[in-house]
Amino acid sequence: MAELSYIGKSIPRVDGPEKVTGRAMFTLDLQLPKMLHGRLLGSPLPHARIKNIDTSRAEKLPGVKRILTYKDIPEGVEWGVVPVCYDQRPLASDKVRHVGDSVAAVIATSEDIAVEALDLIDVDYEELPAVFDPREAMEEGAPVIHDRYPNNIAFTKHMEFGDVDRMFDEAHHVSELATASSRQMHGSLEAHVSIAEWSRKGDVTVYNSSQCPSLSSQYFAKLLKIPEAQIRVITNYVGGGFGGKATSKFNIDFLSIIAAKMLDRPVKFYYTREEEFLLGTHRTKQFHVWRIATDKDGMLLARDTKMVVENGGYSDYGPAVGGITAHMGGSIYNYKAYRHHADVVCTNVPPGGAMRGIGNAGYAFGSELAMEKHAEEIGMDPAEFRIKNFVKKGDTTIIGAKITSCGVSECVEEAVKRVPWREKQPSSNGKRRGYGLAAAVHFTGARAMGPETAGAFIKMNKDGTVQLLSGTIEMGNGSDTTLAQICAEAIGVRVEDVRIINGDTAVNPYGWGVRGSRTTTIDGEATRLASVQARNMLFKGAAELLECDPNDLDAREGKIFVTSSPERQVTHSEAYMKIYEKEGSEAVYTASSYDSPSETPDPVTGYGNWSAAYAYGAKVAEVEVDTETGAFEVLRVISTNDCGTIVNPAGAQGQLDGGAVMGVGYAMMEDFEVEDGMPVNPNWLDYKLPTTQDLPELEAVLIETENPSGPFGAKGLGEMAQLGTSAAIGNAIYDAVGVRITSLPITPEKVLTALNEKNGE
Amino acid sequence: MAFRHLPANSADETLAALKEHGEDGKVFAGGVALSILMKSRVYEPEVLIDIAGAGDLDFIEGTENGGLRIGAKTVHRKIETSPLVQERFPLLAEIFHNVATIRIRNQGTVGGNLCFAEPASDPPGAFLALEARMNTKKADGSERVIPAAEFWTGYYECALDEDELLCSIEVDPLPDGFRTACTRFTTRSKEDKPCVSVSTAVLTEEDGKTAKEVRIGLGGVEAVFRRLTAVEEGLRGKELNQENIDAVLADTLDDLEPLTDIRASSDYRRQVTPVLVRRTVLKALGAS
Ligand SMILES: Cc1cc2nc3c(=O)[nH]c(=O)nc-3n(C[C@H](O)[C@H](O)[C@H](O)COP(=O)(O)OP(=O)(O)OC[C@H]3O[C@@H](n4cnc5c(N)ncnc54)[C@H](O)[C@@H]3O)c2cc1C
Repeated sequence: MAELSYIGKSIPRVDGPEKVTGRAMFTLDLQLPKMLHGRLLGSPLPHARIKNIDTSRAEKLPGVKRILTYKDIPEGVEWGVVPVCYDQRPLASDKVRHVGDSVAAVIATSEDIAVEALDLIDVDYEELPAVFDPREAMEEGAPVIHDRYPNNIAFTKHMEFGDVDRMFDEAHHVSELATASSRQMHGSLEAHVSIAEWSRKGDVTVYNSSQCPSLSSQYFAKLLKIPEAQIRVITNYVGGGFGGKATSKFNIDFLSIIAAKMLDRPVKFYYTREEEFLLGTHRTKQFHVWRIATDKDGMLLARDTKMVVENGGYSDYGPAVGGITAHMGGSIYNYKAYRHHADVVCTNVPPGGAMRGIGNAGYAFGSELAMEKHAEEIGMDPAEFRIKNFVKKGDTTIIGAKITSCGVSECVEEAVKRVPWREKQPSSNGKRRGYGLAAAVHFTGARAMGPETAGAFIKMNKDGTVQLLSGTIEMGNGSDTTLAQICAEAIGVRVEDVRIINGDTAVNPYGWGVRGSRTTTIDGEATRLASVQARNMLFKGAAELLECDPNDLDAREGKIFVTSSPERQVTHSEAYMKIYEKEGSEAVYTASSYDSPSETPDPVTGYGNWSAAYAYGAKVAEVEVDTETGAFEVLRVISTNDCGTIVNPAGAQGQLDGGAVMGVGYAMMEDFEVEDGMPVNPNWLDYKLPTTQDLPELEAVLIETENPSGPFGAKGLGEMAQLGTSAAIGNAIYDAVGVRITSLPITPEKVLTALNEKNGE
Repeated sequence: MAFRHLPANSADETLAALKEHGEDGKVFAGGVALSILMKSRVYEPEVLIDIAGAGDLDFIEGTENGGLRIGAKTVHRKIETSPLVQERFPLLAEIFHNVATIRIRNQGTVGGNLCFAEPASDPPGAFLALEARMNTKKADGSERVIPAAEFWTGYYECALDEDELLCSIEVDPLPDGFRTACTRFTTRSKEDKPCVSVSTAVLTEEDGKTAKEVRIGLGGVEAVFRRLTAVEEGLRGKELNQENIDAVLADTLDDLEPLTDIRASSDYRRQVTPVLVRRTVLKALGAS
């Protein structure tokens, strides 16, 4: 590849100065004139029939403008993620299905009044038997949460290829392991927020914190029967999303739109921190049983996975987890036969959802523990066992994934090289050290809910500067910067001459938003395509000025020049003016629409190349375990990642470090606990996130491969960054003290209990 | 959430306010503990008597005998960084350094920490090991001196009456030769409140090994902070090594009644408390 001006360079974040000086605007900050404030009344019970809602006392409180109940919600306002599981509603009607389930909404002139009014709403509940463990909820006779889901199973994903049972019969060795993951919170600083305002023309503007404004507008149009041209969704910077604001948290959007129309004033709703826990979803909890079969050489023959996914009271991304994990499991190792069975089961706990590495983080914890156990049982180095069985570039895997770039073996080799791998560590002071490995894969956009489209509009200005209108938004992931780099590189302007305009559905192209590790790659490719069109238009003007063929031109850093004699050059502005001043002038506005080369999986078998590119990575963790207390410290996490061409190394490193930190939290401490349906720790005092004091030494190694379909060879990274950390830590603890903790989080108490059992106490 | 905010700019003003508002009034020191309770609507006091401006409760002074008197409104951070505290009672400097984060330590007061009596706290154990005294005043002008060992009376309960204000905490210097140490053990983030918090002060015979007097203050484990007097008695006269300490702990800690909370189960606390007590005693022995 020719030397590039911006791709591969650590260009400082374009949103950096604004954010570090506190000037960046987040939707939560927004106050509109005459704005009213909405608050939700949540259910105190995990499962109950609503017999009556009496709002009369609350309505009398001065300052209360309106109280909404399900009766105010139009018919058919039901949604979800997987179409057969559209069961979410803004307000509960017949029943409440988890603590915090919204029953009513107060709209008042101030937040304080709204809160006061909540206490004055009298709800008459008939408590119903409830069920909290999805494995129990599937059993005959368990309380039914939604009539539409017999046995509470909202969704089942079964994928099976090859003769699984025969492979297990013929196997040289079979291993089995049961594992479980936990409920991790996104922990975004900005809460979910939605402000709606209707214009006199009868159009509605919604300011929200969605990772996907286009999808918001599409849902509002469809469910509220408003022409989409009359809806404008505006999203400022999103103060952290991590999947929690992906595409499905529409409750308060619908309420603000409906209330603002009734009251003819802007209405703002946001989730309190407690509501973030109860309504904002979390990383979906999973239970797995893994069976692995190998031949006498340690080659994988088959894997058989049985999963139960805790859906919670409503279907958010839970059902999607059942399918995503099937695809991911089949995109990293080669098998002769593969079976994945996932039941996604409703329970009376707050709903699970999508979170960075959706489904895959809990899945990779279990599957990489199972791989480790299998390696040990067949007496093979776990790194070697993995490398032997990884998919390779050029493979079409058992589930139909087409691997067009793959550096996973190099990732593992690089990671283990950095530690005294497989050397027994001396114990000192009752403390033992160990090293653990895990590998993982993640997609780059997945064709799960339709085409993986992205668009970009380029507006060249006559002074040579550029406005890039993209279909995505910036949620802290750094995509404004990478898109600016791609745009500047492709047009050949200076990166500081590119301004990104995004987050306004009335202005920006349609896009799938920031999710699925897609933005730099898929929105990036759309950006590149629109940029190349703009450059080609400018080259016509430049060719006239320089009296050469447009094909002989190149452009970099604000100059268009003759490739063979770069001193012959003009600026973009000069080129633009040349074509603009002519008769029949052309303005340089371009648009692209891009769909990534992936396939919709077969609706029956699930077979297909679901994503345009697969990113790989490995983690090695170093831990020290205190054998008397079970307490352990994570001393080091090494992240090696194959994420295609690196567009911005500093940004990539930030993702990998941040991902590792999130992985450490997931491994060691993060768990939204719910006991008999009651939230135990819905706040930052009792739910612990890792802080700087808890952090290990972080090392990030970028291993570049080239993704043929990505802009300049890029592929996804954001989610990959955290995958495998928890399994690497779990495997390191096993290496140190010989106990395998099979459920998250790995606590000192679990380690000590396992040590006691091992020592026969 | 409606309440009255009443600034009180001295101990006397505070006492007058306590008298006037009776059980409706609540002292608001750093507000770290109270505001969390109020925000989550667990507790809704009517009148907040805000002692932010009560300068006469905010001081650290040396006493003539080489001890220390600390005003109840002094923030953790000030105690942790005070050269006088660091010189005279390194244990206190360390224990306050251990609490939470700098943000919390800049706001939370020693009086708030001690009076709130939350089991998962660090400073009470240290004040127990140092045999501190709590100087209090009541609205009627009467004063009390409450020994640390009698200050904590229950789960989130201390010995203060409703109209009583903790004014200062006083510690006498440890007799020559005492060495101190503390251990703060967390099970999740290191910034979490303690699962087990042990403070010790150890005095040995001239041989440097045989225990003459051992004081152990325990926090985080039980509903009420206390000295482990049976352990202390058991250790007296013994050579302080791992084997001996473990033997004494095995005999004398069966009355432990550990709590179960989000940080650990009662059973786990029962297992690790002896380990952490032994380590803290040995750490003190190794201290200069
Ligand atoms: C995130 C976090 C982490 C924490 N971590 C730790 C930790 O690791 N270790 C630890 O020990 N603690 C920890 N704490 C607790 C913290 O130290 C206490 O909450 C704090 O010290 C309380 O002090 P305050 O001045 O804010 O009390 P306030 O909230 O003002 O008051 C607390 C109670 O004490 C009463 N009170 C206050 N002063 C007086 C007085 N002079 N006389 C009579 N009554 C009085 C009040 O009326 C109230 O009932 C943590 C707290 C938080 C929020």
